[in-house]
Amino acid sequence: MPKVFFVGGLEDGRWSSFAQHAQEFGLPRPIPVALKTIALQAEAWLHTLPMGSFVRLDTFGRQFDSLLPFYHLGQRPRQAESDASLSPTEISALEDHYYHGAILAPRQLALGFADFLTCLAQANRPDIVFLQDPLEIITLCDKTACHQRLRAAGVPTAQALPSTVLPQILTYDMLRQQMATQGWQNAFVKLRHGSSASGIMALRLSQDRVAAWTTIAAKRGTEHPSFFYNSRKIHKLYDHASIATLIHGLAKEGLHSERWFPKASLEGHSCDLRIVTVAGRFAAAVLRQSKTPFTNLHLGNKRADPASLRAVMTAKAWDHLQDTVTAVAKLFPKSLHLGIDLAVHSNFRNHAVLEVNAFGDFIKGTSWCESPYAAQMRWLKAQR
Amino acid sequence: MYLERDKYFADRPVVEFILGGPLPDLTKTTVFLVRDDPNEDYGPDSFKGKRLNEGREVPFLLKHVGSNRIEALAIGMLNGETSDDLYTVPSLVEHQDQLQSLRHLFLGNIAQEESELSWIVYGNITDLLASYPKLETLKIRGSFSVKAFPERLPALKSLVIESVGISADEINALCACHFPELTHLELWLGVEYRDGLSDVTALAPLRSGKTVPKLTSLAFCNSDLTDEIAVFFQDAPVLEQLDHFSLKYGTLSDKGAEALLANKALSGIKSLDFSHHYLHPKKMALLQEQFPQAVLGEPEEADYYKDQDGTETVDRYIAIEE
Repeated sequence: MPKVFFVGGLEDGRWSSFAQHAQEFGLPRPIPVALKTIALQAEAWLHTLPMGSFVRLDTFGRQFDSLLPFYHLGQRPRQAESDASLSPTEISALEDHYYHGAILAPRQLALGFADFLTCLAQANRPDIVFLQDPLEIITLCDKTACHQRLRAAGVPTAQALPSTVLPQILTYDMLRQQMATQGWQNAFVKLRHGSSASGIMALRLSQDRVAAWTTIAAKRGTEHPSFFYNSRKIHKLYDHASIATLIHGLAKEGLHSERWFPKASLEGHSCDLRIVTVAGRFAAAVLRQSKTPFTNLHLGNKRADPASLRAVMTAKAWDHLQDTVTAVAKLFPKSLHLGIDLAVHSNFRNHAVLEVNAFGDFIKGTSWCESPYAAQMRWLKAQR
Repeated sequence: MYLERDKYFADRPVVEFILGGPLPDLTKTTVFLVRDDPNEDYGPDSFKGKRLNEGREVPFLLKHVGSNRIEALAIGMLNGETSDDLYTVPSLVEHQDQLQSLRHLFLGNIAQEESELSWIVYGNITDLLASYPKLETLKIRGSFSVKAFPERLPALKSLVIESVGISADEINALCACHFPELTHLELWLGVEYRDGLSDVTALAPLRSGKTVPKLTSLAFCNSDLTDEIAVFFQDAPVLEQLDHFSLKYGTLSDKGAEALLANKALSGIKSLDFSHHYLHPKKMALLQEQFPQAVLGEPEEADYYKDQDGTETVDRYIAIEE
C-alpha cells in the first residue's frame, strides 16, 4: 500500500478524524504534513515523496502562522493586478491584527495558495496521486471561476452579475445599477474567495428601499485591513450608507454576486443541501435548516435528514437533482471528494448549485452513508 | 422567525397552479397562484414575461380553471421579484362574478426568502371586503389600506393579518365591523414607526367581545405594545369565551408578565402562547408555574444602551420589523 500524506492544518480535527478513519479501515497510518512547512518549497517537498504516494490536500487551519507563507506567495500576483497588495512588512504586521473571523486580504491569500498549488501541479511527479487535483482546487476556491465552469456546462446555477472581474472594483452604486438592469430585487453578494460564510450579504432592493442580512461587521475606529470581520451574529441593515460601506470595503477583494432565489422551506426554516460526493458518487448529505437566508452550519443552523426534503419533491425533481450532482462531479473529475451546496427552489421543482467546496467533506451529522471520510477510506483500500 | 410559504391554508394543501399540469381537486385544495419560475414559459396568451402583472393572472387562472369553481385561493408573488402588488385586489373585485364559489382567500403567500414582510403591499381592500360577503377565511400577509369594513362580515370565521404595522385607521375600521361567525382573529400589529398602533385602547371593541360573539381564538402578534396589551386585556370580557390567546412574536417583558400573572381570566384558557419574549428567567418560571398550558420558548436578547447622563435604554424587537 503506498503511503498517504495528509497536508493541511493539523489542529482543527480534520487530521485526527482522517487518521482515525484510516486506522478503523486497517489502512497504514497517514503521514501528517503541516501545510505551512511546505508552502514555500512545494516542489522540493514533492520530490522527497516515495513513488506512487497519495496526497490529500486540506485547508490551512486557523492559526495565523499557517496563513503567513501564503500571504507572501500571493504578494507578487496581487501586486500585478491591484495596488491593494500587502508588502512583506505589512504582511508581518497583519499578525497583530489577526483574530478568528477577521477578513484579511482574502484575495492575496487565495492567489498565494493558487501559486503553491500550481507548483505542486507543475512539479514533474506524475506518479503522485493527489486525492484532489491542485488545479481543480484553484478553481473551486474561486467562486466566480467555479460558477463560470458550472454554468458553461449547463449545470443549474443562479445567474451571476458580470461585474466581478478583478481588478475591476464593484461599487455599491454599480451593484444596484446592475441589479436593476437585470430586473433583480434580491441578490447574494459574497467574497469571491471565502469559506464558511465569510463575507456574505443577502441584499434586497426595491425602489428606494433596501434590506440586507449579513455576517460582515466592521470594527469602529480603525483603517487597518482587519477592519472587517465575520460575525457569527447575523444582523440586518436597512440603510444604503451602511451597506455601501461594507461593499466598498470588500470590493477590492473581489465580490461574486448571484441572484438570490427563494429556497425551499420546511418546518419554518429555509433549507439547502450539503452533498458530499466521493469518486463521483453521492456519498453523504445533510439538510441545513436556517431562519435566515444563510444556511451555513457554524452559524448555529440546524442539521436534518435530506429525506424530509426528498419526501416533498416529485421523483422527477429529485432525479434531476441527482443528475446535477453527478454532472458537477464530472466537471471536477480529479477531485476525489467535493462538497456541493445545492438549494431547491421554493416551488420544490427547480434547483441550483450554490457553491462547490474543495474542502467540504469534514462535516458531521450526515445521512445516507457512513461518512465522507469512510467513503474515501473504501476508495483508498480499493487502490491497493 | 423566518416566514415561509403556507403549505396548508383553510385546512387544505396549497397546490401551485401550473399551466398544462393537471388541475388540482378544487374542493380539496387551495389553488396557489404564483409566478416564481423565470424558466417557465406559459405561452403567448399567458402572463409570462418581465412586465408587471397588471392584473392578468386572475383572469388567466379563471380562463383555465373555469368560472365559479375555485373555493380556496392563495396569491403569491406575481410581479417577478417585486412584492408591490396593486393589481390583484382590483382584479379580484372585477372578476367577483366568476368567483362566486370563493370561500377562502389568502393574499401574500410569500416567504421571507422572497420578500420583506413590509414590502408586500396590496393597496385598498375596501371593495374586496364588500365584494365577497361569503368569505369564510381571509388572510393577508403584508400591508393594505382600508376606508371601511362592511357593517357585517356575516360568514367570516377566520381573519389573519400578518403585518409590520396595522394603523389605527385600519384597526378602527375593523373594530367597527360585526363578525357574527368569527372564531379566529390574529392581528400582527407591528410597530409605530411602521404606521402601527400607538395606543392599545383602539382595541377596546375586541376587548369587550361584543363584535365577535363566537370568537374562541385571539392573537395579538408581532407587536411592540405587547406589555400594554397584556395590561389592557387584564380581566377583559372577551377572554371568558376563548380557548386560545396569544401574544407571540412581540416584546413581552416583566412588566407585561405582571399583568398576565394578575389576570384571573387566563387560567381558564386552554392554550396560551407568549413565545418570543424578553422575560427574566424568574418571571418566566412564575408565569409557567401559574399557566402550565402556556408556550414560552427561549427569551430573546434585548439591547441595552447607556446615555451620557447615565439613563439606561432598553431596545426590544418584535419578530419581524421589516
